[in-house]
Amino acid sequence: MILDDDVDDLVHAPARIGTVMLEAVGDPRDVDIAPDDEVVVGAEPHGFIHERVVVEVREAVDRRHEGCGVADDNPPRVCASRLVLAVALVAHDVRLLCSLWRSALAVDELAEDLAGHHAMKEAAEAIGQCRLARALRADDAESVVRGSHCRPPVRDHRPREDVLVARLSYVAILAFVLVGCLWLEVFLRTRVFARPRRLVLSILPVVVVFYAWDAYAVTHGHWRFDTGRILGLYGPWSVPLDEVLFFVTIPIASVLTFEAVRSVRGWPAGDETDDR
Amino acid sequence: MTYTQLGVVAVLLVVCVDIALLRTRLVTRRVFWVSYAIILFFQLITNGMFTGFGIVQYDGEAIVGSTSPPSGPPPFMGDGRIAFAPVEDLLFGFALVLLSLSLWVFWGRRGVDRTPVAGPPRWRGDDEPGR
Repeated sequence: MILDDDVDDLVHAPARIGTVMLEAVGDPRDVDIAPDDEVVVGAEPHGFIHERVVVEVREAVDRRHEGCGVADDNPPRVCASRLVLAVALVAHDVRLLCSLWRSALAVDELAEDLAGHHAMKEAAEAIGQCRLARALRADDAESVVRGSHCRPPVRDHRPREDVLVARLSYVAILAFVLVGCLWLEVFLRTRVFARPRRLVLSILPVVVVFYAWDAYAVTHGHWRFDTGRILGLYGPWSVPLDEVLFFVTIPIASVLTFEAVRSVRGWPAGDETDDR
Repeated sequence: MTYTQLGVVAVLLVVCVDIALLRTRLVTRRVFWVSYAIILFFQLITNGMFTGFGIVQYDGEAIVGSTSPPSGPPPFMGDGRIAFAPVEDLLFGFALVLLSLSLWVFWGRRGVDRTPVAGPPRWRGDDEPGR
C-alpha cells in the first residue's frame, strides 16, 4: 500500500538538531519539541494515539533496519516533524494528532509539512479523500486539518465487499436494538409512534446534549472508533454519523420500554389526563 | 475532565433536570425504575457488542479501567469494566435514558401528543372512575 511505503521513507529523514528522548516525555503536549528535533522512536508511548501508532512507526523503522546491525540500545532516530507526519499517515487522523501535539508543533507547520508532501496528496486522491486532497493541493492548512478526519480504512486488505459490510457493524447493533423493541408498539400498544411530535421534541434535545458530549470526548481522546466498522460519515468535531443514530435510537427504545411497562402495569408517570 | 468525572456530573445534572427543571420527578416513580432495569439489561448486551468487538475503544487516561487493547476484546469483568464496557458507560446510559424519558413525560404534561395513551383500546366509558 502507498501509505506503508510512505512511512518507511518518512522515518528515514535525516536527524538534524538536538535529541528529545520520548521515553522521558509522559505527555507529548508537555514537551517543547521543535519540528527539527530528533526523536527516539521506540519509546513507551503514553498518548492514546501513540499507543497504537508509534508502535507501528517503530515497526516500520525496525523493518528497515533489519539486517543493518542496529542494536537495541541504539534506537533509530527520526526528525520530529517527520515522525509526526509518519504517525499521521499511519493513524489517518491528523486532526486528533494535532490536538496531541499542539504545543509541540503549530497546526499550520504540520499542515504545511503535509501539504508539501506529494505522496500524501496522491494517497488522499487514491483513497477517495476528496476534501483532504483538495485542501492539500490548495496548501490550505486549516482545511487539511478539518478534512483529514473523514478517511476510510486504508490499511484494510480484505475484499471490498467485506470492507463495506464491516462498515455496517455499528448500525447493525442499532438495528438489533430497534428490532428488540419495535414489536412493543404493535403487541403492547405503546402508541409511541402515534405521538410523533412528542417523540421528536423529546429526542432533539437529547441529540444536541449528547452530541456535545461526544464531540468533547472525541477531541479529548476519551474514546475513539474503529474507522473500519462505522459508516465513515462525520459531523462537526469528528463525531461519526453512527453516534447521531445512536442518540436517536436509544431514546426511542427507552420510550418504547417505558410505555410498554405502563401498558402492562398501569403505573402512573405524571402525564396522565387530569380526570384519571 | 475525564469520562469518569463527566459521567458523574451528567447523572447529577440530569437528575436535577428531572426533579427541578422539568419537574417530572421520574426518579421517584416505580414505572421509571422498572423501565430502567429492563433498559439496563439490554444496554449491557449492546454495549458489550460495541466494546467487545472493539468498535468503540477507550483511553485509560479517561476511565477508571485501562485503555482498550489494540486487538482483541478488553476484560469482560474487572479493571473498571462490566460486560466489556467501562463502568462509566452506565453513567452515560443512565443520563441518556433519564433525560429522554423526562422530556417525554414533560411534553406529555404540557399537552403535546398526550394521547393516545399506551394500553388496550380505550373508549369514553373507560375513563370513568372506579375502572
